[in-house]
Amino acid sequence: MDTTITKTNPLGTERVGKLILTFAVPSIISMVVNALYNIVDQIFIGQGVGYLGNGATNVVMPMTVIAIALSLLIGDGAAAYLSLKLGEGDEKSAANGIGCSISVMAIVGIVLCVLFNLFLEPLCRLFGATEDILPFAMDYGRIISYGILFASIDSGMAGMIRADGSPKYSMAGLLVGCITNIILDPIFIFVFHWGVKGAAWATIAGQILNAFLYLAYIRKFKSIRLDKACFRISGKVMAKVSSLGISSFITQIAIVLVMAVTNNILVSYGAQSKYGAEIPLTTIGITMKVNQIVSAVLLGLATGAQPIWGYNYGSGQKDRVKQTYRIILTASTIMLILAFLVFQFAPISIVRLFGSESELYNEFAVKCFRIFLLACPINGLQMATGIFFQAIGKPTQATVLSLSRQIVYLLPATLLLPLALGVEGALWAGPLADVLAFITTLVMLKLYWKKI
Amino acid sequence: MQGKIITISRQCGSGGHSIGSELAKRLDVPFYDREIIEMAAKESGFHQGFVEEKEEHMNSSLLFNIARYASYGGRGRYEDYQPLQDQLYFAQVKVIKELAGKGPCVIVGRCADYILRDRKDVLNIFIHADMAFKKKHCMERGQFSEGDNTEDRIRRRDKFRADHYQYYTDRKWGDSFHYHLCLDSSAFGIEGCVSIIEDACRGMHPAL
Repeated sequence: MDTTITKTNPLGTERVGKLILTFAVPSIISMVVNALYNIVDQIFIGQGVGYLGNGATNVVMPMTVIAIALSLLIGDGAAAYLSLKLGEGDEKSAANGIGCSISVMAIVGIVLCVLFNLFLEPLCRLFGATEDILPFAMDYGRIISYGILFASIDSGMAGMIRADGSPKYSMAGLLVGCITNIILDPIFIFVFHWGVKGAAWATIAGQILNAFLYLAYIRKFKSIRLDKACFRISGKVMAKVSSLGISSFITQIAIVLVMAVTNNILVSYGAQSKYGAEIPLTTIGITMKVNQIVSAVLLGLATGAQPIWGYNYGSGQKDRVKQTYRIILTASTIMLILAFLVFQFAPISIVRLFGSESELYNEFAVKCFRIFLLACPINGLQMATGIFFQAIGKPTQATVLSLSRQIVYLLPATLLLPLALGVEGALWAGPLADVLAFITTLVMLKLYWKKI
Repeated sequence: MQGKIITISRQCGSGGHSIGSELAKRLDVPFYDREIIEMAAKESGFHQGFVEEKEEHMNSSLLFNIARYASYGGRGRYEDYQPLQDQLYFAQVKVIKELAGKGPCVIVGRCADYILRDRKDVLNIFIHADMAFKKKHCMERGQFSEGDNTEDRIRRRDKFRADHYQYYTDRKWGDSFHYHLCLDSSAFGIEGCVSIIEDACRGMHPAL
């Protein structure tokens, strides 16, 4: 009987190309929606308020990411804990883990909300606000900080709900939030003329709706039953949950670090250039967010391939493992080349989406796309390979790959290159980090490919 | 009369495998050690070489412990996809529960004491020994070849077992109060340990 199970598992027999389509499409959609969430505000603020408003969102972004990092530490950890305990058939511990995590997440959300409110100005300055941007950042950040509790619930509970076997519900919550934001943004900004405040209200309205949908799910968990006692906080359970969520946390904190450093470098070197402090800060933010959409597609593609890699590696079908890897790599690279062509030859059409500004602004924005994303076609290798190593149970290699670009290469390059090249040096840090990460990946593949 | 299921947790080189197999012979019950790997392989659809590799080569450095969970969160979110190590563990849980359901037996290692914690008919044993005994035993069994840094490898193996146990059970490996009997095989010898456990079994269940 056991052998028939092996034979009929589609992961081991179905055509690889077809499997990739089945698994990758949902994961691409969810990643892209997530990335869109960040960019929609920027488009409306750019059109309705101007680039100082967009700069303000860049300054506030790290605060949101800190909240996301903490809620993923708990939420992704709790999701893993749920899978772990359910896999073993221990529903009671699974329920305790989820209940306790939701309680802690709510407390963390409230504490962050208070802290961000109390220290809003120093935090804005820490993350790169200039005198011109500060008023916008304070307006935008104040409202965003009210919504932090809901943002925490959104990003924390999404994973739990997926792990409970309801990926569609989790997706629906996210979509409702995102669509609410897209609808309210133009109303608040263009009809009511609320400026950045309007964009912030639209954002947290979406977050609140999303959070209510997720909280309603507490009564609907399929695999566990949550009663009041489950919500009691246990230090032991939380220690385990956070040890499981630590990699999500580290990845997010790496993002905060890179954003904080990049913002500050651009402001201080930008002030010494003809562009001034604000233009570089704003344009790099737009560049990174546009690039996030491209990355979201690639990550969605590669994470969709995970079960295929994992199953076939485990069942010894190495040729299917390698075939899947080749398809993913080829598809990613083709997509990146297309993106590269747009970034190099039509950057201004993307820039205009985010509002029409001065010649100087356009000049630097175009430079951002052309220089910072110069090496993007080779990025596919590092992303696909990192997830590939995770899928086949080699997490050490995966972590080295995924953190090396951000922490080991991009961060120092962003700090050092401007010393020689001025504000444009910060842009050259992008392709330099890409090339170094590419080489690191090749070395890793050379070391491990034969053993696969 | 229904007999006992005996689980043996053991330090590397303490002779737990020999004690278990001898005990099973004397009690005339099935003995499971590596056989579980084979059965888990069938259960999960993974091939045996892979299962063994995962069993032997998971290391326990700090980086690994951080990185291990990368499969759950990290760059993307894919909670619906379980890491391979966990899939294997779940397969072993299923196999061990099935084996226990079939009747009395001796099971060595693999968190069996924890997995069977809800059953009342389980006798949990922990075997440990001093380093000299463990080194000698490993050499005799040809587990490590000459020139290897045996002591180091024994320690690493035990560290791995402790981490693995802690990860899946949230309990400390070798904590005496999780076991009915903790024995020092360097004090009693392999034969001595077998006899003591056998007596314990017969004392509790005269029909065995």
